[in-house]
Amino acid sequence: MSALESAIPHLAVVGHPNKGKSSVVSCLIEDDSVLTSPLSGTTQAAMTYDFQQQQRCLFRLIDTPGFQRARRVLAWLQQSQPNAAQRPQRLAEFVALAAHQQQFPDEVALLTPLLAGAAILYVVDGSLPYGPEYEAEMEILRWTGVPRMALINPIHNSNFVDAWRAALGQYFQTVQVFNPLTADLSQRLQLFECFARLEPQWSSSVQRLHRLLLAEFERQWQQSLELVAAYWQKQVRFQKTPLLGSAIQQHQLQQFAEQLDQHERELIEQLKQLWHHAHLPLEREALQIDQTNLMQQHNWYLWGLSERDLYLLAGLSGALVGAAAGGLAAGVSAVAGLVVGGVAGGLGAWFASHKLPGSHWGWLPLGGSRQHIGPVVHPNFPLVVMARVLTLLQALIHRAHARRDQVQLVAEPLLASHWPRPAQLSLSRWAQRIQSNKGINETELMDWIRERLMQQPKSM
Amino acid sequence: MVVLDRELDLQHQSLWSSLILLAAFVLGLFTGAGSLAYQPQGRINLLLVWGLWAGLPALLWLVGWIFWFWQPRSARQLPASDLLPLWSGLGLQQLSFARFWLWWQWFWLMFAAGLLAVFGWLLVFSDLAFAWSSTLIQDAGLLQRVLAVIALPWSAWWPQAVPSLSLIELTQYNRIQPEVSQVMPFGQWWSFLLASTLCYNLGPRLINVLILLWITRKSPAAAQWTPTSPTAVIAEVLAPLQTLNRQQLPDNAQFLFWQLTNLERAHFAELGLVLGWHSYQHDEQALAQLVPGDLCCWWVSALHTPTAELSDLIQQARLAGIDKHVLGCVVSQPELPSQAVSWQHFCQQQSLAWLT
Repeated sequence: MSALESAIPHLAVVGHPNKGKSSVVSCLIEDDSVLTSPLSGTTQAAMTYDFQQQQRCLFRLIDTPGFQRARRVLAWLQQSQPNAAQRPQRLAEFVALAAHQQQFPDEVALLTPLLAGAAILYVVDGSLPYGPEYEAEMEILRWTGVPRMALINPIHNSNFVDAWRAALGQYFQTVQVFNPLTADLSQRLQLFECFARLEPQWSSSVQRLHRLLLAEFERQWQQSLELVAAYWQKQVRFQKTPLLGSAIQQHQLQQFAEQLDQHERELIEQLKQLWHHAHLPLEREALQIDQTNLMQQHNWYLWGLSERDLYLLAGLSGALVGAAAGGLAAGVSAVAGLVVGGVAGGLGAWFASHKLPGSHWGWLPLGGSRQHIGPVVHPNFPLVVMARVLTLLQALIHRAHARRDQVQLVAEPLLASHWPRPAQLSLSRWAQRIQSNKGINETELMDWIRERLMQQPKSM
Repeated sequence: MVVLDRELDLQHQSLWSSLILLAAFVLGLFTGAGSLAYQPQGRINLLLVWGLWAGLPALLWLVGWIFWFWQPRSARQLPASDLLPLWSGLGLQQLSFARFWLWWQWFWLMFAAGLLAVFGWLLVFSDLAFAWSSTLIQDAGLLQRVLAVIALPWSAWWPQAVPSLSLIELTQYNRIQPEVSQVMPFGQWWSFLLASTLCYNLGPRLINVLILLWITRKSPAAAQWTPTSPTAVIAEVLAPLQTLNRQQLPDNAQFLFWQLTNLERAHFAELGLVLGWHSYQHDEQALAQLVPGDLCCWWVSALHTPTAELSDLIQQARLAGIDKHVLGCVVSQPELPSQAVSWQHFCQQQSLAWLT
């Protein structure tokens, strides 16, 4: 083993079949592509997994097939009755024999990395009682003489954890309870601390690992907030303008709805990649849009004024002219002139808003109207969009990579109804501002998202 | 990895295959019409047409069979060749070639049919004037001897289709010096050409089709196997799960308890061997107590998973003459998920009956 390899934690995950070895590997290296199955004997060969950050290997795990013939192997090893110093050599002889590749392929596969210097991570099921059938395995592992730690995986319950601790403590330097299906970052960090205790020369590597994992977690958080904020704004303001002169067809409304759904799918893929859940089994109901209110008509006046602008301009202009005219007479007339002028201007704007669209002054158009599809103005839409993405993001953040159960995303999650009323109103107000082409404070939006995520229960 | 092309299976001819075969027929029509076209003052060069209609197809037929038998033996030794029945003797690569070749024979059959169709049409509705012309062969006698050999297959039952010396002499044709007399048997070559086409083109193709149909139909199981990807894992071929009701256990069934706890063993009134707890030598010696011929009933815990050590012991018992084994699961903690699926899989692998 090279000096570089010996400086980083590298452990072979060993144990009886079907005790969660591959799940432990999947969880620790944050890779949901590791093959796991409820059927025993899924792992048939030793597979090496490197955990890398910033193009640097921080630790290495070797997933191994389970012990299949532990007692036979122990019987063979004990034939020559080696003393303690001779036992590692005896194991090397066992592995080196060509016939044993055929007779004991699983034991050869799991012992080879141990003889190359990997430490032992022995996994047992804390929900089943301890039995003497495990002692042959533990005895073989003890013969290797390499650093050893045991993980009690409470697959179904923790009924027998104490009994296991009592037994494992006699064979292993460290015993930890660890459930790969529920472990979060803090629990994984605790486990990595145990690596440092197992082998002192790994201390600096483990500290670096700790630092980098936390930094990476923060980066993932920050990037998630940015992605969600950008996506939400995009969905809220999304609008399509058909070609000039063409009426909006039903299929265009359908396309619009599909594009909104496509935006969500794209965001989901980005988040999955960000949180290393590339193989997440997701069952997703499509984003539902009420197509009946998607069509919008926009009138413009006098080369770009909106209806509101027209009223303001006309009213102000009228008020100024009226005030000026009245002011020439006397102070009282100035106020009356302001009021009358403002009202007259408003009335004129109202008249113009009905007459200008489509009219021309010579060749110059004085007003016009355009039809658009979207944005979606239903008041629930911004809430539903945000609730969906936060539901999924919560799942991605807290989901252990060893899990293989399906995640479901329904059309309208109940999540939004759990938000405080002020939070809902804030989101609605931001949506209205965006749809009115006004800017919002993105930092505030991201803080809002972060707050919702931290308050959300970890339901998935 | 070799992937068998299901499209070549004539039992499931796709639309495309039918269209291509139709195109082959049409191509044959045009080729036939083209090769039988001639100027009024000219003649159809019989040797050239014969070469195109009979000579070349016969040569290619021969080449095909040479290639079939010439394929290196190593090409047959593919990983999945063990899946094929022994009597087929074919590797996957050869089977793939056979199916491909079969399709080509259909193609050329349709082509020949097109040729013959236009030939027959022109024979009936037009006059065809054949003459032979060659730069190298000038001796009519030599040509007659060669053609007699070629005509051997049908000379006995269709002697009119064997060209005579007089026909050959009379129909020799020189393009730069065409001498045409009024009465010339130019059309009498039609029978030789027809017989040659039937014997050296259509006939061998038909024979090929029959042989290849027989070959490819004899290996249906292999023909169905298609790996899904280059890294596809060949699934285990497992025996079907046989089941046996506990009530059907004979009185002399021998009970063995594999790694059952005391609590789990307490469910059984019968006594039996307790294996899996002590050393492996102890288990091997315990198996020696079993009576050959009697049924062995293995009881295992539903909470545990099968290991190869158990299969080794079962194998040892089989070698000692105990060939009937059943396996049953004890469920001591029903609230926990059972490993029954793993145990059933184990039964299939070891050919054990599953006790219900």
